[in-house]
Amino acid sequence: MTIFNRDSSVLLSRRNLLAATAATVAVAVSTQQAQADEAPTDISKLPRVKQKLVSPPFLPEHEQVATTGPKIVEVTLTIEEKKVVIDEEGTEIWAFAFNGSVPGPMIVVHEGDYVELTLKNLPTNAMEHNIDFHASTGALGGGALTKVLPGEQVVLRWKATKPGVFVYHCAPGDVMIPYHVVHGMNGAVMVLPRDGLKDAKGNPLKYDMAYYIGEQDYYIPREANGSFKKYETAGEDLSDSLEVMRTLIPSHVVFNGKVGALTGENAMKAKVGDQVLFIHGQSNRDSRPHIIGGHGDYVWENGKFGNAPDMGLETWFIRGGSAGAALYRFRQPGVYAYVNHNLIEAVMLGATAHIKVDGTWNDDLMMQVSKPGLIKA
Amino acid sequence: MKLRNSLAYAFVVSSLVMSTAYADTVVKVTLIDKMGTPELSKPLGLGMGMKGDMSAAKMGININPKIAASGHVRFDVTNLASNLVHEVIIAQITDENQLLPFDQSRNKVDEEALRSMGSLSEIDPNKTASLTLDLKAGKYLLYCNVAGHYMAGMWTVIEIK
Repeated sequence: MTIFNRDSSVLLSRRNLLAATAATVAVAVSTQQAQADEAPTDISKLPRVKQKLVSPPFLPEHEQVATTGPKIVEVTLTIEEKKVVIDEEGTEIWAFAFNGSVPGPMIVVHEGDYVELTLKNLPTNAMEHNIDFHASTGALGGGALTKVLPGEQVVLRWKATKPGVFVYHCAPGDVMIPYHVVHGMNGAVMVLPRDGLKDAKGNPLKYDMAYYIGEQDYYIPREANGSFKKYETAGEDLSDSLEVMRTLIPSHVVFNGKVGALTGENAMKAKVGDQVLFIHGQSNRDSRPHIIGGHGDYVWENGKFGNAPDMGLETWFIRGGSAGAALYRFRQPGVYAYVNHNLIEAVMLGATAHIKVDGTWNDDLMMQVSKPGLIKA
Repeated sequence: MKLRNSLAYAFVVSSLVMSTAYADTVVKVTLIDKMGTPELSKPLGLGMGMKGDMSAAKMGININPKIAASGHVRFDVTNLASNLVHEVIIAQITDENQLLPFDQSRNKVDEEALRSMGSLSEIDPNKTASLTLDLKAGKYLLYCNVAGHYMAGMWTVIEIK
């Protein structure tokens, strides 16, 4: 251990020595804690469960408070290179999709559980893929251990030691890292504390439903006449796409893969009184979710449940390469817009979702006192 | 004034003609390589005209479009392989069912025996390279002649009309 002193040539005073001793004790305690995280578990005795993953915005079935000890949660992600339409104009991208969806499915476990992933790269795909879990601990988040060529599969197991919501994404190396991520190859993991979510005072927080909004920035190349280019096969757009990506100006910023994926008929649903947990992931670019007409009652802006949630936020910030979570109890019915509150991105590039909330209007919270009419003198 | 206008007109017309003359047909070419640790010491029998099971090929070339107009044709080649360097040679052929002259010992096509139009060598993984050729109507083979790659299926045919 190094003791830093303002003047290293001065001999340590008694006071300094005491401070140094206290620091040593603190280091010893935190080392013990770290070692507890790192203590190997005899996993042969752990129960195994298969988690059936579902397409976003939904989450797989899970317990909010763990009723058993740690377990091994088996999941399968199959990588599919597929052409998808991303707006009403028919703009296309050859997406690289975990389990066929953009974003990939949410995986939910508890702190201390193990995630055992089988990653399959379909033989019909053209490229090598892998996965980097931000929730995991180890070089490249598993990236080096999960490289699979088309026709191959690999199994990776990692221990969930940090509670929170985290993104995962493909990271095959070099320019292919951002290229794959902006072709939809990302998703999220939620690691719940074993005893569930809590407010700043340690009181339990429950949700009636949870939705996963994966925000995706696309960089679609254009023809000379301004229309979006189309490609016959996956990967054909590499050089054109890299050129657009280099500008850092996305052509689309969307929720769940395409413009309108979560609006109108596809709106998320809730009732007045429901506590809804919104998990927002962005693997590449900053975002700022906002519920128009609502708030975030409890917001883990940086997405990590080891920190106390902020309360009563209007808009929260999601750093590119992370996920955040916000819990909100709806008090009024209606159709709420859930947007990235860069309103250019929300309205012109696609980053808008809807939440349709049923229930009875509360005049006490808001009412129209008089209808629009002529200005009175 | 009249002269100036007509000169300007002539300039506009000539630049239109020029841009039409030099507008290349663009063919997007992707090099596919699904080989892990390739066992390429022996020919895999997936060359042109060999009636091999191409669906089993772990190397290949995709092109778009598969038919292009004669004249200046620009090939934008992207190497989608994760590790291996590849190349593309473009050669005129008469028949897409013909067997190519092949050097078994080197596991390579005998390039000298083909009418080669041009080539792009040493394209690194994730990199793109371009080549423009003036092509007359006919059929042209695109292939990679790194040892073993052609017989592993790394070839395709484009028709120029």
